[in-house]
Amino acid sequence: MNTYESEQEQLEALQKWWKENGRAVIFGVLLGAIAIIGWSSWQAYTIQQAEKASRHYGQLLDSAKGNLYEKVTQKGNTLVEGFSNSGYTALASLVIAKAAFQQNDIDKAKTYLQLAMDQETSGAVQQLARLRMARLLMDEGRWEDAITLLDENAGEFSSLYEEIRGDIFLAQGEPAKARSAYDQSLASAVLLGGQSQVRIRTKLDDLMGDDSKRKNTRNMPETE
Amino acid sequence: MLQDIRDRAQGWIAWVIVILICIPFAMWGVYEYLGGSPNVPVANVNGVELTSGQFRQAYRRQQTHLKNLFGANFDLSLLNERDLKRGTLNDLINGEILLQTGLDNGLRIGDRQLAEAIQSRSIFQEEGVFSDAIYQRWLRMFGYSASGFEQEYRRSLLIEQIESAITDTALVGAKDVENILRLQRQKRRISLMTIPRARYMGNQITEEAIVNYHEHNQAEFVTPERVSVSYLELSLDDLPNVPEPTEEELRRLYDHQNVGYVEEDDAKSGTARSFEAARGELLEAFQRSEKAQLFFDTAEQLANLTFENPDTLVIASDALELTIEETGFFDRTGSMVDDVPLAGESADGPADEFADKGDKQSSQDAAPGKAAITNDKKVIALAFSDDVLTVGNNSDPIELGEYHVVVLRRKAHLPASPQPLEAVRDEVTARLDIKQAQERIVQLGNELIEKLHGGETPASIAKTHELTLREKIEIGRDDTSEAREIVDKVFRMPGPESGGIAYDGMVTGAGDFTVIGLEEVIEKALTDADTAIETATRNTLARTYGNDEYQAYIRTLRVGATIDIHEDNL
Repeated sequence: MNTYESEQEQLEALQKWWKENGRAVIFGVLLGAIAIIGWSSWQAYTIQQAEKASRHYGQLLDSAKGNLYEKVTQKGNTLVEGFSNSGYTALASLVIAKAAFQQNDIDKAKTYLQLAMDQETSGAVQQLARLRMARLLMDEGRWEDAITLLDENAGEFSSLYEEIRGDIFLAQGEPAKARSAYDQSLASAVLLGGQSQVRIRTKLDDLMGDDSKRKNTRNMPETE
Repeated sequence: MLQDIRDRAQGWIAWVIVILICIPFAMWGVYEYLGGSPNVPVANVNGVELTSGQFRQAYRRQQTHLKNLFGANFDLSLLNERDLKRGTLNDLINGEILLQTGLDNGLRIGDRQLAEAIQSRSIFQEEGVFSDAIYQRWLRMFGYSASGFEQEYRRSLLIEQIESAITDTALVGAKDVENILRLQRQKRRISLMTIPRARYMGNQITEEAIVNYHEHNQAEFVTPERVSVSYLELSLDDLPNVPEPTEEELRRLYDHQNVGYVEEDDAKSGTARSFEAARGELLEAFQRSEKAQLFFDTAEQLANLTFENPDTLVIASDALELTIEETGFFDRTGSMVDDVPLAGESADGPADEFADKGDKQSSQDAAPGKAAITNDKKVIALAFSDDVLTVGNNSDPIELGEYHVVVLRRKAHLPASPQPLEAVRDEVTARLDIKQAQERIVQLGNELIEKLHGGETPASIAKTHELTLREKIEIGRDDTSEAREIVDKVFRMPGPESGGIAYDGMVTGAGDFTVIGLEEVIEKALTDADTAIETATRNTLARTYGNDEYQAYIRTLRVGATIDIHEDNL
């Protein structure tokens, strides 16, 4: 019987506690529920946005492959403006830059390369975009600006960076400097494909002996 | 309250629940016991394990890909398996890193997009419309589950999104194209004058020079490393004849194969040959199959006995009644060397084996009618393998042909050793002769180049020195009309000053000296007619840049990743 009494007491104590704290508990549970629902809807929303961006990006790629320039621009704007925080912005910028370049819209190409260069999330894309920007600047004859870009950290792109540096020195009429840049480029070119190795080698060979010391070779010729 | 729970827990529902819970615990890990190859990790990328199952699948795909590339009859064993596996693993790791990077950056392939992508594949379509039946059949054919395939396809779509953004978007400027075309299409007009080495051969070589040269170039005058092996050879012919079958056995065979013994003439009537007529053939067939069986049994015993007793062939020899045979010394090319090791040269094989057998080896050439086993590449490779040569174990059985195996072990080993002067005197003399002739033509060549720079013409020099001169040769960078080395040299020479000719020379592979006169570097400016080649060059360059940039991109990602490779699990 003791048990019953104490159970009765317990029940009363519980009721009393509930009267005092009930509101707080309900409020807490509600708050928790809202937080959970909010969090999962946010998750669902981000996923949905990412999937949307992905579909737009897929269409962008298709348009670029089909050389549909207007569609590329349109899809590109949707992506870059509507989904500016998505991971697709950097990739899309590269695609749009290429399309613009093919349309001879160099300014636009540069704008989008700059956008890719500004994407802090991916250092690799930044290095890549810088390389492409340097090529554009070189083609325009803005050598100093190109060199400034090439002076930044090249990382795994160093062979390609040095090749452009060599091209710029060559265009500037500085064969000795160009040769040393090509030399450096070739030194790290083992990781490049065979065609690139041949290309850089050819550029280097063409400058061989292009200073007076090497002319009129009289020393022992190389044997086999 | 608790009592209530206790009372109700006795019911049948509770038992069902308990049993259901038990099952997973009891069956946990059963799959591992049931065989199925264990799914061990082959690599770990940023904490994500790549399993051997994934690897095997990728490797199979790689093999199919190669077969498609080189034709169904392509022999994959021609490729280095280790390299192939490493390459596959490398691709797998790259894929994982790209995937992780993509997901981190918020890339995502939704279900709808995945479905669209799969449905648009023409292999899953019938008359231009996606067919689920075809899709399911395809999945079964390649052993995929639908969810497994879809997961993998999603993965590859995501990687493709990154890849296309980089490989297809490289930029190539007009100046770049112009420069490349300038180099590619450049021609050079040259003259070539050859001073033949043969003309200056036959020099007097002093004894002192010979001795001196031999002393200073000892490393080049060594006998090749050689080894001799003892071996057990098992072939079908060596096996004893099997006992004659009883009539009864033959008759059973006859009944069994009856259908096969229809004589040609009787073929139409379909009458079978009599047992007597087929007897000879039956006997032969019977013995052949019995003997083959005997061969396989013996070969297996041979493999086991030589493996279990890696230090000797004697046990296998006694048990199987095979004679231990021996070869003479042979080198890595398999050519036999007759000379017995000189006194003082110690073979580093086990002393007992070497001493016992003395130098019998010179007489141990192949038995008549049998090719020497030292002609076989596999034999040579194993004889010089670490396990046999250094450790001194018996080799694995080597299959020399159908019903023909050999197990060998090292008998004696002669490391590369210097050759005495007398043995190589002729060669030294010849080399010195060539060297002197070379020096003379180089000296003459340089003198001539000097004279050419001084203003003499190639024609007058060629006449004075009776040399062949070829003038006004126009060559391109990739031309094969002249020797590769000369073309390379020509395109590395500085261009001539205006109006002049640049001269240089080289000793060619044939040993002659060639004087090269570079008369003109010809570079044609691009014209309107070159638009097509410009476009083609631009596209090629863009592709090359794109691929290289993509690889550099992946390498950059790899630098930032933590990668463990377990190559043993490949």
